[in-house]
Amino acid sequence: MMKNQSKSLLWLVISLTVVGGLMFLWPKPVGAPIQEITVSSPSPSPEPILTAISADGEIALEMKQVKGAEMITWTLKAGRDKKAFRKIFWQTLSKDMTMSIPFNTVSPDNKYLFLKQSGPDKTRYLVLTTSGEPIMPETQTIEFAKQFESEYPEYVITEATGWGGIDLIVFNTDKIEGGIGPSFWYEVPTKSFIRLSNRFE
Amino acid sequence: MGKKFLGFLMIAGLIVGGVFYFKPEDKLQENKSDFKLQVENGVKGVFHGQEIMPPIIDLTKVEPETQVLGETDPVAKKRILINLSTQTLSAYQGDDLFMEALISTGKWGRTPTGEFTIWSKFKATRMSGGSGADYYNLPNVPYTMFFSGSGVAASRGFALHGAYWHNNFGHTMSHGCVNMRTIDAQKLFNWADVNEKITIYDEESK
Repeated sequence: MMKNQSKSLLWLVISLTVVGGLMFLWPKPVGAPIQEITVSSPSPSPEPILTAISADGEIALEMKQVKGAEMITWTLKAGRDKKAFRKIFWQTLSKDMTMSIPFNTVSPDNKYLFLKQSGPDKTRYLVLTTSGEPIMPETQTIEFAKQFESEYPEYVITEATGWGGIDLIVFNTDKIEGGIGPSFWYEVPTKSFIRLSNRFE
Repeated sequence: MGKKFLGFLMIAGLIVGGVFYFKPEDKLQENKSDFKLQVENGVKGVFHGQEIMPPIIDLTKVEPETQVLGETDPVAKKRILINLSTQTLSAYQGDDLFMEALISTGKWGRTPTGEFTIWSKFKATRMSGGSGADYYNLPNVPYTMFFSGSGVAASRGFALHGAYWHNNFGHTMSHGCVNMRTIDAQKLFNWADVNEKITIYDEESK
């Protein structure tokens, strides 16, 4: 009886050794990624870089995002070229929000720029200076979409397209109840809206 | 009585016809220019009732050389295509794409469609026109390439040029000219010669 048990145990050990050995020696599929599971706190990973340039080529912009577990930190640098880049803005947002640099971001005199902040249920536009100096006393940035919503509740901003003048941001709207709305200018120094008689397509 | 009615009809017809003829959106506007190199550093311009300081024009500055990427046939014809519907400009040498750019064409005055030829180039010039709230008077308009053709006389002042008074490219924004970012206008100016052909079209005229 005891002899039979020893035999079974021996067979089990031999079988396990053979299976284990085969698993160890079996060729791994080429190119299969070896995954590492990190159980410690997630380390930030670099993401694609967004770039833009002013219309005269004098100011270059670079925006990077660093992803954390729940939040993303967005950093914007500006300068004549990469060597002269200075950090002018950074913000940490929840993961469902994204930042982007519109094509016509920089004002014609290179004094201001605007950024687009998109979320699942709202879009915000931030205006700041290209130098990184506060845009108003004790105010680093101006956000005008929220102000527009309270002043013109019958319209919703569809897109801020660029600068209609040195300090005038152009944006189009739709009517809340449906249909196309008018275009507006947002005058940065006075923080006021100017309703336009014709639409900027 | 019949003659009176006929006279009334004729006057009414003239008024209606006149209104349609002078409807600003449809009429090609005149862009006043002296058609000469004009550098006015430090002189302010006006656009949409706002004063704006033009960029400094330095005629001694060496312009960067322009090159088409890859192998190109140096004798291949250059052509510039302007699509009003997409507000884009594409420049080709033979089949090779030299550049693509977002532009701003006529909003307060129509940009003509058809086949045109660049008849003069100036590194800077002054342009003025419009009226009332649309009045503009702009010194140092950079990298200006005047064009004519398709029934549009050279004296009308249509041009491709850099625009330093707005930054809304990809959307109509001009009085009829083809506005470009200064950085794009510079690139095109240094590549295109006088007598280069331009085709301006929209989806309807295609």
